[in-house]
Amino acid sequence: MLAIKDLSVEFMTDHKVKAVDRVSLNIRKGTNTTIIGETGSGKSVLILSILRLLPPSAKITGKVIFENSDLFQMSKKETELIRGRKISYIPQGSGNALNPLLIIGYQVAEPMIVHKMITKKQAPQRSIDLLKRFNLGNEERRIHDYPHTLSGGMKQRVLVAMGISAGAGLILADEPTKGLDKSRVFMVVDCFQQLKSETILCVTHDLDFAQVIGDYVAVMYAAQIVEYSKKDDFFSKPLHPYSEALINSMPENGLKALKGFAPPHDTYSYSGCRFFERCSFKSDRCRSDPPLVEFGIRQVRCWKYAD
Amino acid sequence: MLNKKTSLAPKMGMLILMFFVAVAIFAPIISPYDPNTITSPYLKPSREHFLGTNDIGQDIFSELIYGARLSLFIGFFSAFIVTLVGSVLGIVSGYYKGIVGRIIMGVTNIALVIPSLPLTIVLAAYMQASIWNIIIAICATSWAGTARIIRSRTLQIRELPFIKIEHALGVGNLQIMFAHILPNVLEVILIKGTLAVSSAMLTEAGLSFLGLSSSTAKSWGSILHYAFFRNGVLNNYWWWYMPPIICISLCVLGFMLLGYHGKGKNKTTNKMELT
Ligand SMILES: Nc1ncnc2c1ncn2[C@@H]1O[C@H](COP(=O)(O)OP(=O)(O)OP(=O)(O)O)[C@@H](O)[C@H]1O
Ligand SMILES: [Mg+2]
Repeated sequence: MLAIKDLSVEFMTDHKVKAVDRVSLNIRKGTNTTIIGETGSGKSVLILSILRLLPPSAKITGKVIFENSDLFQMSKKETELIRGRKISYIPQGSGNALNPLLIIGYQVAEPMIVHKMITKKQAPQRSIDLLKRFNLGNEERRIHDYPHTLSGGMKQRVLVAMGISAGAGLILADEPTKGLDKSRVFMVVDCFQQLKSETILCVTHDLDFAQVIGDYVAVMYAAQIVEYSKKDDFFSKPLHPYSEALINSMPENGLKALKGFAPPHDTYSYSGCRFFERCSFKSDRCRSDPPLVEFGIRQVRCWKYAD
Repeated sequence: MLNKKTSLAPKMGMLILMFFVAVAIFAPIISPYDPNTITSPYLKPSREHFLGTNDIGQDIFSELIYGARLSLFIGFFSAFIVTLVGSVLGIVSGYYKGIVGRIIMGVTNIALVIPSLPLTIVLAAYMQASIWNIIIAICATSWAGTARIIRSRTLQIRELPFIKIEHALGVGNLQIMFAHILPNVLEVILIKGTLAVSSAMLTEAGLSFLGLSSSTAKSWGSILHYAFFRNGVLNNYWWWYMPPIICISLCVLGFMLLGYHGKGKNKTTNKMELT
């Protein structure tokens, strides 16, 4: 459905920042893929670059093939037609993700209106139907409310409804559970489980969320994907030392925190494994770039599996 | 949240303005004479003429009542044009902050640094004396301030997450500017618009006082003009020059009260600042 090939994103600020470095990823139709990784690893930039939502200072190379056409070769007009209707984006619900001065019903229906799928008159009924699907509760009244009357979990559900409003088959979500407590997270999980026919690519910090939602897991570290695997394989037997550290840091596994920080961006041009400093399996060969080792569809970027 | 004290001021402003608007609308009913009818000149206030008559014998009280029409019309109309132009330019230049925005802002900055009073006077003097040219002269110089403020608000709002999301869902630029950004700057537009009415009325009074408006049009400024140039002030005929001054001052006060204290009416904007 979506094939990302050698995607790199560089920010042309005072000093170059390579936020995404030669990422390749295949998303199969109808499956859910989660991207996990620590802060600053380039997850949001990766998601935003797919829809070309980055500021002009971002230099993007590589290809993103969606339904047989390269998204990066499209004109502005074509991109606008794809956004919301074929591929859509669900942001995190905290903050001003919804326009504070417009009623919810309008915002949910707006993608349908701008893509000329319904008229303004049909908007209220369509947003009621959509919101009902996500159990917002009291939908007939809610559509006339302003966003500030909603709780964080409710906002997130409205955003999901907005995201699929114009019928997009591919949903990109960026940390939909951020800033929500555990019980609210369940509501969002519920929401995402409603999206059976849609294909989802979701960035998250929440490993539990990834475990429930995802079919596949991709781990990002310092702008690269270091491991890609089926969910069950990943959680039962992570391959990359960083993935292992992530899973060990889950509460049920003893909350063992990984020490140290990811290397700063200007060191990416040096060769060698980017996880070197923090790795407990490092050896001399890790000073040169690790190969991408494949086991079927499973991939890991580590010298450990090179032989 | 608003407390009772702050919400009294806009109510007062509203009351003053409603009074003048009513006077303007019902001028033919209220006014005792046609302001153009000529009787004896330089009469002092009396039963027949509350505020006496002017140099050519027109009833000053009637002039004052009819003057409300023109003064308010010029004020509202110029303010409408100024605010419309300023808002559109502000939103567009803030939204397209690239080349388009920079060109618009360049022109705006030039318009801002040109001293507007002399320019208005020069413009009004250069064109034929008529109320439409007065309106043009007022508009030509005062849209820039509104454009600047709206632009800076737009620059803030365009970076908010919900605008990014609109882009992500395929919503077009025009729709984003006028369905999403406009409601968020509407409050500023209304406040600037209210204040624009009062400043347009002041400018009109100034220009008419200088004799740059149509010589037959009756506005508060033109009453003052004749009071000054036909010896009304010299002889201290206070009933001639004081009433228009008081009317102008009251109107300006009304708009100020409404404009400066009328914010926060929109209940949702308070919430936005919290999040
Ligand atoms: N507009 C930008 N200009 C310059 N650098 C940017 C820009 N946006 C992101 N970056 C840089 O790109 C890198 C990756 O950022 P990104 O937001 O993708 O991280 P992330 O993995 O999403 O982190 P988090 O989990 O905290 O959201 C960061 O180092 C950031 O500083
Ligand atoms: Mg992020």
